[in-house]
Amino acid sequence: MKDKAIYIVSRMKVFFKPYFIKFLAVMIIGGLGAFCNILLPSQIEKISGIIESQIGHELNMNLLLRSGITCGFIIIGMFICNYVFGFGMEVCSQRISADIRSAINTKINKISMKQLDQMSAGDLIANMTTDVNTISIAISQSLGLLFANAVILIGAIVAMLLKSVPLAICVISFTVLGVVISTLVSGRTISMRDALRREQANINGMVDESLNGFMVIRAYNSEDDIIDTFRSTSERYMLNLKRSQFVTEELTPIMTMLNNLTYVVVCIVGAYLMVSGSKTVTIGVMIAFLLYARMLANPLTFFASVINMLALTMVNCQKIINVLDMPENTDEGVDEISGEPGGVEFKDVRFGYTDDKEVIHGFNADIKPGMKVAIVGQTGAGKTTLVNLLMRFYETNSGQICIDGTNIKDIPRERLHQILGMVMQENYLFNISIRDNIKYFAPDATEEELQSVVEKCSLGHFIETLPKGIDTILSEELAVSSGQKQLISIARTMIKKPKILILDEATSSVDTRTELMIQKALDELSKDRTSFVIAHRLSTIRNADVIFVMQDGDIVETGNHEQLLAKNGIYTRIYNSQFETAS
Amino acid sequence: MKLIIRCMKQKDRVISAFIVLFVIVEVLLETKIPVVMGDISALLQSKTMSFEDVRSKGLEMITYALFSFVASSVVCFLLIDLACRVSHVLRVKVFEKILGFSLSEISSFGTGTLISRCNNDIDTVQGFVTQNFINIVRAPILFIIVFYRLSSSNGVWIAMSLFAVAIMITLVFFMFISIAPLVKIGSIIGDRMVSAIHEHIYGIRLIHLGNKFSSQEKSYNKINKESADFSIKVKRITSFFSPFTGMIIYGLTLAVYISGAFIMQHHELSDQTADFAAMVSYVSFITFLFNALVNIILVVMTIPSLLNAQRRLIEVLDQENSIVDGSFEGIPDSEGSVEFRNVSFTYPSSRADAISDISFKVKKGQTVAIIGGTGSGKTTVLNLILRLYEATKGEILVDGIPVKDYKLKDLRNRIGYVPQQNYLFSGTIAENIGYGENGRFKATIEEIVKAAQVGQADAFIRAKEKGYYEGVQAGGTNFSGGQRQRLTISRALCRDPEIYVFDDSFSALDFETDAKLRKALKKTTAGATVIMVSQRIASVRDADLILVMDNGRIVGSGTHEQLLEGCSVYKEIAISQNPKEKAV
Repeated sequence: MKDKAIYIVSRMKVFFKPYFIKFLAVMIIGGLGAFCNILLPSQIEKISGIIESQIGHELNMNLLLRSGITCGFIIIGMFICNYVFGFGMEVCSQRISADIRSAINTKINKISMKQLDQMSAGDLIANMTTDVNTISIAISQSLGLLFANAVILIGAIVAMLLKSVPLAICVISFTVLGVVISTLVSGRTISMRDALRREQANINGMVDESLNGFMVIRAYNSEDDIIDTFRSTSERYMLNLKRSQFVTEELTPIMTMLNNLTYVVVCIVGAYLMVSGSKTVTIGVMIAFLLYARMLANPLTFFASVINMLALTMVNCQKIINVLDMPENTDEGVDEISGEPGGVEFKDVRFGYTDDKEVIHGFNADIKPGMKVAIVGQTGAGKTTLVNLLMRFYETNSGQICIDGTNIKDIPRERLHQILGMVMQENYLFNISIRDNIKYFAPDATEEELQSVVEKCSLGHFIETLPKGIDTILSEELAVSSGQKQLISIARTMIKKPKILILDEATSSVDTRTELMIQKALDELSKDRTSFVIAHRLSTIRNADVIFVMQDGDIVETGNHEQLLAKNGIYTRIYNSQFETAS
Repeated sequence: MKLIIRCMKQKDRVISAFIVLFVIVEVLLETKIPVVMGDISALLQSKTMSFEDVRSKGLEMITYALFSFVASSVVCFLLIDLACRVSHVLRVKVFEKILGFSLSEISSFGTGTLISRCNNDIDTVQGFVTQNFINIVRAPILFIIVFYRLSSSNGVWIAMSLFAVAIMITLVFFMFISIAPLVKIGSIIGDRMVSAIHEHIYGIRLIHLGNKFSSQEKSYNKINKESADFSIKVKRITSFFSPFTGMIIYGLTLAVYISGAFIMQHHELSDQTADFAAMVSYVSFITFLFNALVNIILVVMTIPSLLNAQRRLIEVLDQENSIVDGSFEGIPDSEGSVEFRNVSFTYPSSRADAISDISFKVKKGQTVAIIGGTGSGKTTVLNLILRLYEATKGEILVDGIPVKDYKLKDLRNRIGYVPQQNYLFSGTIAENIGYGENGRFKATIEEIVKAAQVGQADAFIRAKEKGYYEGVQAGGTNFSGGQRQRLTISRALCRDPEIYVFDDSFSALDFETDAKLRKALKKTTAGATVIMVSQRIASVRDADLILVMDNGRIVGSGTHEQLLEGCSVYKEIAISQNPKEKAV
């Protein structure tokens, strides 16, 4: 446990280093402010003593004013220190967390795609937002306040013990009692919080579900059932909420009572001591003790909970370290790939998503430049696996994929990605202008080239209808249809002039006219290029030079249309079912 | 507040009155403690205090402290009970109201905001009542009582206290003005941070392909720095509050002492003791005063979000339902007939008609197919039959009766609907297939299995560990698209309606399964009326009547052969889906 903490600290140290001096300085200022805070009760006691001793005599104005001014300076000093501390801590914690976020962001660019695909986007987003925020708060509130609270705690206890041991013991024991009670109570609420969170998730889930399935509920007349279920779910939630909130809120009256009792105890014990003839205890002392009592509770509570808070932060730090330690893409290739061709050779390629399960078992194929390869298979058959291997987003277990005789592992990644072009079914466009989207892979493309691809992809009319034409920035409000998004992606790839093309023909839920435009653009794009097409159109399949038939992640049949039909195997079955009717 | 009061019953109002009463009692008791402290200090001053006095004064203070605790505990209990009860009532009311909406209301609000209102806004109201309401009641009472107790003190102190309070309020006011405009910017920056991360993760392959690593990192770091800078800017302002409060409290204490010393000088000896005691007592009250002030300020800060949440909930509750039950109660003549007479419909937020002048007639047992591109209005037609939307022009009749005249439940009992999005509910597979009420019977497991067999779902259901009792996640996410579609079709079949409505229900199925399903379906739905929408010619070619829609109008109607000959849009679609069709 301790070793783990030490390890985590040593890893996170690197983020602290640039701000170490600033952090230290701010901590010291905070301590200074705390020190001023400690001095004040004594000052007030002194002034109270001066006034008390004036009763019946001449007022010593000078003494009084001097004490008053000293006190005033301490108050102002405390104010300045506390302000600088609060603000300074925020600066440190914000800068440190920004650095952590930046490091994670850079890391994401390096993580191997296989790793990235297995991580949930939600987790990564949570890492960069919630986890880092927790660390930020821990820095400014836990770490930062450590020194200041220690000063107050030790200072107050020492000052009290110096003035009057009996009173000190009273105040300290009551305050400790308060802290013990509040810690016990917060301990209880943690288990309640889990039950509460579950019930809250239940009720929120019900609302979510009912609204998402609204049409079905109305069409199937299940409203009454659902409202009944909702009512009882809500009641359960309220019961849990009541219990947990009562425990939390009741803490306030309890703490108030303990504060009041501390007050009472100081008054009584102080009075008792005075009546017993104590020389050390005066009214001023009592007032000072009341002030000390008030300032003691916070630091004690802080130290009671700081270990918990830091433990939680450690958990978050570990999550971030896990991300930073993820395996990265290798890029050792140095070979150049030259000339036009674009032939692809698969030499005994083996691949598996996990180490124990191989899905591609020694695949061979020789694709000459300019050939069209159609990839067919049922949904989930693994067509995208092939794409990922070609793009070197995933690495083969063994075997080689060569472009024009050079193993793709020997080419620098940047170069490989320059010669490959991809249009998939899910087309991600950035929130930048259409021009910049199209020129994304080819920032040096000329205006003529841009216009040419716009025309070939039938985007002219669409762009004309936009407020700023081709410079309009894409956003959700524009409500660009999926068909148009696909056309823009095709243009984006077209202008890149890749040697080898990978594309997915699926265009479901697009109207006929748009579908024809897309097909025209795709045909233009794959003219005279080596293409790997995840095929949905019969014409594509029938005209392909080679067809890869995939099933369960493996390539089970290869050949052209006639050859495969003759085999009368899987391909034949898939092909024929396209024409079955209900008769 | 009005919303909360709306949800309170008579007994709740009485309880609220009791809460206020107990709060007053609690405050009165608690503020007595410093008064007694003053008495003690006076006694000590005059050196006339005895042990007896110590004991009696001590007991007095302890009594006040304990009873004040009891009172505030009672308040705590009653208040939380009330808050939970009221928010439960509110929550059920809002939910019920939403379930009674038509699609018009749902889409004019938006699903997202309705979910948010039903969850978050109600939590905001509940949280406010539990945590802040107490301060709204307590703090002013405390303030008033403290000032009342202090009213007998000298005018100088009162003036100074008021001045200190005024400074506090002024500071808070300035803080508020500086922060208010920043709040909006804050959420914009927050959104931008999240969308930057989003874009990064979802566009990662493109970033690799375009080798845009350094430009991505540059643009991210820009937003990152902006976000940090912004938080620091806000903190620059908010860091004032706590240190300033401390300074004012100590400053006022000091001022009271110094001024008190001067005032005492001008008084008689006998009064001076009392003066000193008053000073001691006053200083304790300062703490009370400023605690109350801080609490009021904190509460006032939360009022805008409460009002916002309230407004959003009232908007939902006060929304009028546009589609309500009709009054027809009898038994209609024909069964399973549907007729559209010159029906037009415009979506609430748009200017153009989604469908115009649609007329057609379907007899019992007939199959009508609607085909057309995206946005041609097919789904709209189906929604109108179910009266999920109301036609803006024209009339729709089911079984000879206008749909407006039916009780909504009676209308929908006649229909088995398979919507485009295949939504399943959390529960078991059996519960999903036997879903809802059809006004006649509750499905038995045998009927559920039969429906699943026709819907081509039986095989994969039996392959699951718990078979028909296998769990379904909300939305059906633990099933593939094709499986979900077969389950929703089985759900409609189980209902045994006189009219089936299929909205593009076979699109997720591969060709093989689609063919098998339609064969089985044809047999089972033989006596019923079927209205189906599709984009595939193969699915519609056997229908008794095919309607071709384009841009909200019917541009062709007839059989498959008739349309191939006479309707250009139909021909276009057919050719693009199967080049062989040219030959017909």
